[in-house]
Amino acid sequence: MTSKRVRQTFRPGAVLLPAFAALLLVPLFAAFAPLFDGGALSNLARAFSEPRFARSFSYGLSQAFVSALLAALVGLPGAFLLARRRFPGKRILSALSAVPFCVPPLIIAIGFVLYYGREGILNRALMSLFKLDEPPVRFLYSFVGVVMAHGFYNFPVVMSLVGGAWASSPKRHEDAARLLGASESRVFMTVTLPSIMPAIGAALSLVFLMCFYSFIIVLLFGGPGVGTPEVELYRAARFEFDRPLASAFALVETLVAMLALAVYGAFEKHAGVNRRDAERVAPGPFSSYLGAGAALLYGAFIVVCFMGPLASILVESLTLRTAARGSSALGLGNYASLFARKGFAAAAFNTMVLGLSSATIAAATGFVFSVGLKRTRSTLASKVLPLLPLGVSSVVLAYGWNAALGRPSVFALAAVQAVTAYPFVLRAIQSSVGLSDERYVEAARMLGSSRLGSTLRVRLPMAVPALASGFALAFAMSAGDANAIIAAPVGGFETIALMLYRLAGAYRLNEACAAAVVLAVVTGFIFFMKDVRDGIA
Amino acid sequence: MLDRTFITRGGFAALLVALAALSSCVQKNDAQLVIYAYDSFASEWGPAPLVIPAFEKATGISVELVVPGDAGQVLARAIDEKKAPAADVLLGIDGNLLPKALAAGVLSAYRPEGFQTVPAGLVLDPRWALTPYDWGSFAIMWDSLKLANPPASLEDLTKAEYAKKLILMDPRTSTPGLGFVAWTKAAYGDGMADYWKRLKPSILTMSPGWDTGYGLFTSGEAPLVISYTTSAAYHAEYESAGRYKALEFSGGHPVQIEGAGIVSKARHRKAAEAFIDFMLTPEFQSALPLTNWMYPVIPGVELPASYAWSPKPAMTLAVDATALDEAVRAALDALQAP
Repeated sequence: MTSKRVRQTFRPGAVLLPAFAALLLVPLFAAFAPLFDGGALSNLARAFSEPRFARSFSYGLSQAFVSALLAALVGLPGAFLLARRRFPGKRILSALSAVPFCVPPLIIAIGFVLYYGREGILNRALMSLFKLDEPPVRFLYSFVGVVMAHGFYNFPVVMSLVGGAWASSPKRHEDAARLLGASESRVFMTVTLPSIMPAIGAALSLVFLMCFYSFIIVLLFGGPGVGTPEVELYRAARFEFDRPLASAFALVETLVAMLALAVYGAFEKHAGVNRRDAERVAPGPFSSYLGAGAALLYGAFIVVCFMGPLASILVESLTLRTAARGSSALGLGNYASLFARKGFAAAAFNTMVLGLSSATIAAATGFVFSVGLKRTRSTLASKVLPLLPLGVSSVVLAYGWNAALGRPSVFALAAVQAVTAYPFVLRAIQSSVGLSDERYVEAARMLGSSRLGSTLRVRLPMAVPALASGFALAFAMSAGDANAIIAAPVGGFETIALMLYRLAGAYRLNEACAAAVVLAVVTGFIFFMKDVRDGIA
Repeated sequence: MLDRTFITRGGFAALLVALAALSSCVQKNDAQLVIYAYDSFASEWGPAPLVIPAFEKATGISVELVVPGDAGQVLARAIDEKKAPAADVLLGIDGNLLPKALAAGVLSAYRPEGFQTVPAGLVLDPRWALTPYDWGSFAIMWDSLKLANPPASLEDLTKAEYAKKLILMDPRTSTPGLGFVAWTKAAYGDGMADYWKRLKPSILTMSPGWDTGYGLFTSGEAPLVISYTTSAAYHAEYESAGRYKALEFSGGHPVQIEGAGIVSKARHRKAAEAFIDFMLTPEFQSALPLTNWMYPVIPGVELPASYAWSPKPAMTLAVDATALDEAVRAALDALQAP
């Protein structure tokens, strides 16, 4: 029972939250400012009258929708396994949730080409196995290719979000239904499914958003000439120098994303309520050989379809192509030349600095907000507002900062990355702060501790594992992100992710793959730590 | 309560360290010349590490090299800062961007010393708002190991035998992609939309940037890709010559000419003029072939042996840059038509 007390003079939320809102809203408004150049309405009308406008939105929406469905299809069995079963290799399956956040899309695209491509590992294996003349796997450069890449790239999001809800779905109700004679399928349909439905909806809308903003994968695999709003925005800003038109695209794009976000928020609201009074069920062993066999099949499917492209990046990074192209050898030469690069040490240092800064900002505001959320009654607004950053592309934010500050700055980069990572960080922290026992806080308050003091001395230490996981997630996302830096580069400031893009752009694909593996090892290690994983799931 | 102190102090320490490190990244600006250049020019394997120190040594002028991104971003930033320009020189504006730069009024004319040595065909602007410093020819690269009969013209590319064998780049996001559209516009004029309809079955994909597209090509995804003739020289220099060849087409090739210009109301006008002069010296020009993979604009600069593999097209095509937006639209409409 929270007693009404005299307000304390200093509340961190009063400072940090407006500060964070400024981090989001200042660049956003700056990005939309050119829209009013010559009348907002006429600019919007001009955008709507362009055929590419409708074309890009219908393509962007449909590919994102189908991609989200595929991600759910692939992710749900994994969610079940994570939540309810004990098996060897579980840590690896669970650590895959790092991939959508921390592996740059350029690397995913290259991995898919190296694996599913006409000359890829899969086709070469199938061709030599079945003595074929033509590559049998040919879906890559089509709508199906886009959806496959997106679906496989993002299924871990569904797996970890739904897995978390599944683990805490009411086991007692299921047992009660069984006792009353319900069949297993009936138990699933009437008890389990309704309890995880909100999480499924939330995960679907999240993946939808991530695919809606996807850029490289859509252009590369979508077939010649397709476009999404993000592509048309880029073209208008970068080649036509039509800022008002670009802002119109950005505005409509953001509004569409906000709609998806509202759906996400609506689902999330129920998911949160369910989680609150949940008991965690300990995962058990497989009950039958059939179940174990099905799980094994699923594991093989994930290894072949999802880990394959990632593994081909590793193979490519170990392939030496300095000699004649026909006869390539394996070796560590790409790593040696990468580490020997003059800028590598600086890039590694910058990656650390940028990651630490954005993670600090994101974790601090995440903590304050989750404490604040605990005090307020859960409304749609208080659930959706903190998730607003999900609906904004980091490219738009970076452009906005540039326009607002007049020059690119490392501070702005840290701000953009913190804002982008923040919804995920909040999620990780909330799951712990939300569940923490209020009695300790109450006790501290009774003993005369101030509101700030009780938060710092009681809530903060109790939230440490969750804070650590949020911090690590934000750090990993920052390390893997190159979008913000490409959109608003800062002179002399290079990170490993940016270096990767430049290597790929300078005839050095193998070395770029080596840089990707370095990034993956660092961020993957973070995700392998148990606390981090638990916080996110 | 060791935990608590550790957490609070650790947290504040991390924050302080991060902020201190961040502020150390913000440099003070006391340079005597500010140049905006595109990323690959400034990168460690680009020309900048060679030519910028050489310029500083020769003139005693200290240079600050700013990298707003690719060439489009260089121009976009200069347009944004038009009222109070921070840059003195914009480097990397090519023929396609020139009309936009002129329309925005961000450049101020300067005819450098030695301008007479630049061949007339490479002069970007008769008023010298932009001074050309290098050029390259777009060409289709051919993987001779994977394809026996290469095409000999743009028209050949539409043949059924090349179905899904060509990698292009998206003209909305990439310079070679835009170059190819310009090529078809120059070759076919108003018939270009029809050409793109016929070409569509041959295109495997249009990648967002040169890097991904060329990466697909060298991974063997398709045996033909749009690039520069000098790509063949690159392979000869660092790998082995012969497998990847630049194809010479019968109808001629379009060229890309890159230039640099002085910003209107530049703060360091004299230093900027010295830099533009320096660009046309053999010292600057001879650094370009192996770092920027482009041809020098002044005659008499010795080319590396690997450039024997880069064919100089007998015929170059002139492309009207002002009509390019319309051409991109026509090509995309043709591709997206059902």
